[in-house]
Order: sequence, then structure tokens, then C-alpha cells
Amino acid sequence: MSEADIHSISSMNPKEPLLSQLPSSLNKQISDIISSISDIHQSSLILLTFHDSHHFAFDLSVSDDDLSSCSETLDQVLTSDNPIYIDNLECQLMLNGGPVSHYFGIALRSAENEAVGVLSLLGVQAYEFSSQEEQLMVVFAECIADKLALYKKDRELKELEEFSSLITDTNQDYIFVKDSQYRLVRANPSFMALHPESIRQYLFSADWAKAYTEEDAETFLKYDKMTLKEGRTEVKEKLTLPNGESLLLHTTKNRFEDSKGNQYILGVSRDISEREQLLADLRKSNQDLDEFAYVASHDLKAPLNAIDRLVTWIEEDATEQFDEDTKKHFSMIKSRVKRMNTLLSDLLSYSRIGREEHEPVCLNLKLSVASCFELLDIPKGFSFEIDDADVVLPRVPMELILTNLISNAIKHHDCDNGLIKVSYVKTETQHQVAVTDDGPGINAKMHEKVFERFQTLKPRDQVEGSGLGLAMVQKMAQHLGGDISLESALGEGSKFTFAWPI
Amino acid sequence: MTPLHALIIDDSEIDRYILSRQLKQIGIDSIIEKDDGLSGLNYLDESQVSGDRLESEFPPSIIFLDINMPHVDGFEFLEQFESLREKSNLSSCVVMMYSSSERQEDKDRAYAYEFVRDFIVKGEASAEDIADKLKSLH
Repeated sequence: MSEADIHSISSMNPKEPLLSQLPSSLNKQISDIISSISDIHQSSLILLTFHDSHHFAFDLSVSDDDLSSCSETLDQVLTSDNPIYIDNLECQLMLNGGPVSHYFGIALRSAENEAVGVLSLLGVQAYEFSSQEEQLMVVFAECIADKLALYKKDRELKELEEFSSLITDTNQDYIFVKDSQYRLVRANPSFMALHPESIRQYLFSADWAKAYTEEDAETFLKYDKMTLKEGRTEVKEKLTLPNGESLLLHTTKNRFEDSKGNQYILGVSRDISEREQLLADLRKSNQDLDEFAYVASHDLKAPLNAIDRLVTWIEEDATEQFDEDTKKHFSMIKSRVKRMNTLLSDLLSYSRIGREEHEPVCLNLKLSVASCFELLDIPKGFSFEIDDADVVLPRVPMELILTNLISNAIKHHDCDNGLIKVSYVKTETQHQVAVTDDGPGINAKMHEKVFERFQTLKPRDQVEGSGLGLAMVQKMAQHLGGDISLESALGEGSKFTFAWPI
Repeated sequence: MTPLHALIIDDSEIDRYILSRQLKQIGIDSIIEKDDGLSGLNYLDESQVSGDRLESEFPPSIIFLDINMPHVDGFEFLEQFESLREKSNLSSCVVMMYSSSERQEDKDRAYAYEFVRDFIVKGEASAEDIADKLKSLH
């Protein structure tokens, strides 16, 4: 049996293909060990099993059924720390014409003490191992277990490598590795596809710079050097292709070392040309829109102001000749002019949200509300309770939100007097500033609608407003990264909460 | 106070009418109106013979200047007026912008000229406001 092959004679668990697919090199190594054992006990059937599901035996006459009959014994060995001797094995195995009744087994354990199989000797006669022989068997078992463990590790490593290549290969980003001489040593398919055939020959050579324009190559080299020095760089760089096409790349480079201490640069580039172009287009169209809003409001406001002035003068000049109806009509014209003026101003402010950048500053809630008062006409009957708290937000948008919410609280109040609270709460995830009033409250059905553009709760003749106030508040809140919410019920006042993340 | 001579340069007839009425309300009766920057420049330029120019009303002490106008707009006017002002000895003549624009950039651009003294946003200034502004000029 010295040159015996290991045959897999049973594969009852297809889910565990690892051990049934032992590569031939490993088979050879294990069979060498097994032959050494069989040299010691020539008449024994030597059985190597793996968790009862894969068996390697050195006797082709053994069938699956025969082997499965001793599975109980194998389980017993697997759970034991010591070798197991059995003198009255109950199985149907035959060896050299006689029934196998004697068994010696030892568990194969990995370095992590995980049982990976059983080394078994089966015989017609009882084994009588000296302690040295038994020790030898233990060493054999360890040796086989180590081989198996190593194979398993190797296999896992290969799988990991395959997986990581799969990621790199399918990645749309351009991934490459350069050595400390700035020479390309690895690149993924995207990177290669980016470079046309004509320049590919230079890529992995010392003449790599020839693949690029002088200016581009200089930039690449500059950041390669910086990466080796500083460990990491991030840059937006230009890449001009031989056909003149130019890409804008966002490139991150990281320095790393292999086990021998050689330094490399791992680079990942992303094509951001399209994104940058879109951003530029967006900026342009925002500008156009701003310009449009400005021109529209300018061209509409100017004649409106003229009408206002002229109507006032007619009123002043001829008021004695007016009858009551005419006077009423004049006051209606003036109120509509005022309404349209408000609408135009609000429309302009609404369209400007998000286009003007404001720096966050530390704002005291009391002071902020005080500055809102300057823009508001607060009736005498209203009182305020304002938390003395500091928040960090851009001033203009924050005060615009507060002004609108306070103005609404007053405008929609059903009494001549009321209490308005401006409070601040910090939760685990949010800052919250709330404006609470004791007004008539808002029907739950209207809670979503109030934030829509041009939506008013009452006819414009009763409460003047453009219907843009809360739409503006919501847009501004969202622009600041937060949102606005409403809690209210009829007869219970309203609470508008502006919340933004910490 | 010496009588003020005003020149209004604005392409909008109604806006010119409104301003001149406001000026009359505060006692300024000598008012010349021009409907764009070019005719305004021609009126001010000594070398151009202006048919409608009364020497007793010249030079204007204050020019009310619109920005958005055809042909020569307010900013082009300011640029050309800067050299004309030196050439034709019009240093006593100052400008008050009279525009619907509320844009800060327009204000900054106008105030870049030292002879631009104020910026009236159309519709926002009453006759009294204009009177106050004129008083602070002299």
C-alpha cells in the first residue's frame, strides 16, 4: 500500500466540496504520511475521514455502506481529545477475509482546535501500540491536520483574491498601482480601456510620461511624489487623450508598502467631466433664472409703482369731487397695488433662496427675534416668550424663517391679543426651534397644504398675503439641511418647528 | 439756496412725469427731460449745439439718471460723462441715480463714480425724501 492513492469513495455532503477536491499535491503529501503509517502496521486498513462526510480509504474494496456503518465510531473520535481504541467494533467491514473488529482512531484538529477529520486504523486483530508508536500517530495526525488547514487557508486566500480582482476589474473607476519609481505596475481594465492602443506600450515602461501630454505628465508626477512623501493626496486633474479629448479626473492616491518594505502608490481616478459640466450648466441656468426673476420683478414693479403714485395724486388732487363709490374704488385699487407689490417682492425672495450663500454664525434667539420685530408691525396686545439660546446658522435665512412664522402667528390670530413662544430644544439628533401661538389652530386636513405655494387659509381680502410665506420658509429650511413641521388642531393654537440635524 | 436746475434722463415717460411733479412739489421748476443717455450727453456737451438749451438753466446742478435705457444706458452714460465733466467744466454737476433696481451690484457700480451722490429706488422715495437728499448734497 506504499504507493496507494487516496480515493474519495464517498461524498455524502455536496455542500462541502473543499475536502473532496483536494489538489493532487496535497493528496500526495497526505498519502506519503499514510504510507509511513501503513509501513508500521502492514495488515491494517487505514481510513482517513473528514467529518464523516468524506472518506479516503486505502482499500478499494470498501464500499460506502461499509463506511457509513462506522460513522458512530467516527463521531466519538471527533469529540475526544485522546486516541480511541475499540476492540469489538460492530461493522460489516471485511479485511483479508476476516471481519474488522479492532479500531484505533485519532481526531485531526486544526490550530484553532477545530476537528477537520479522523485518522483511523482498522484491523482484524487488536492493536497494541507502544507509547512511542501512539505518540508517532499523534504527530502524524497533527501533520495531516496542518496540511489540511494550510490548504484551507490557501483556498480562502485565493477566493479573497479572486473577489478583490472581480471588484477591481468591474469597477468603472480607473484603478492603478505605481512603484516608487512612479512606474505603473498594475492597472484595472477600465484604466487600460481609457488609454488608446497607440499609447499603451508606454504605460508600464520607464517612459510612461510619453503616453501623456507634457503638462499632464508633470501634474501626475507632482502628485505621485507628494503621495510618497505625505501618504495621501487628492486632486482634480486633467487628462488629455491623443485625440485631443480632455477629461477631468478626481484622483485619490494612497501610499502603501508590501511585506518587503517597497513603497507603492495606489491611485483611484474618477471621470468627473460630465459632473463638472452639469454643475457649470446648472450654475449658468441658475444665473439666468436669477436674472429673469430680477428683470421680471423690476419690469413689473416699476409700472406698478408708477400706478401707485399716480393714483395717490389723483386722489389728492380730486378727492373733493369723488363720491363714496369712487373713493371706495380708489382704495381698492391701492390695496390691490400693494398686494401685487408684496407678491412680486416675495416671488423674488423665493426664487433667490438657495442661490445666495450665507455663512453660519452664532445667533442668539432673543436677538434674532428682536431683529425680526423691526420688520414686523407687532400689535400691542401680543406678548412673547423667547428662549435665551444660541444657535449656529446663517443669519439671513434664519431670520427670514422666524419673521415669516411670527408674522403668520399674528396675522392669523383670531384675537387682538395673544402669546407667541419661540423655543429651542436640542434632541439627540436635532436642533429644534419652534414658534408656538395660541391662535385659532389649523385643521389637520390643511397641515400639508399650508406649505404649498400660493396657498392661503383665508381669502386674500381678509388676510393680506402672497401665499408664499410658508413655501418660502420650507424651501429655506430645506436649503439649510433641515425641515419644517407643523403640530396643530382647531382651537388649540399652532406650533411650527424648524429642525435641523446636529 | 440758489435755484436748482435738474436734468432727468429716463426713457419712461411716466417715471419722468412722476419725478418732475415731485421736484415741482419741492420747489424745483427748472427741469429738463431727456429720454436716453445719448440725448442726455448731447445736451450736456458744449460742442454739440443743443436747440433746446437755455443758458440760464445750464449747466444742471443735478442729474437724475435711470439705468435701464435703450441706446446709451445709465452706466454707459456715467462712463462718458466722467470725461465730459472734466472737458466741459461741469464739475458742479452731480448725479443721483433714479432706478427701479435694488441690486447691490448696481449700487456699487454707480457709486464707483465720485460724482454719483445718491441712489433713489423708484417708487420708494417721496417728494420729501428727495428734498432731504438734495439738501444734504449742498
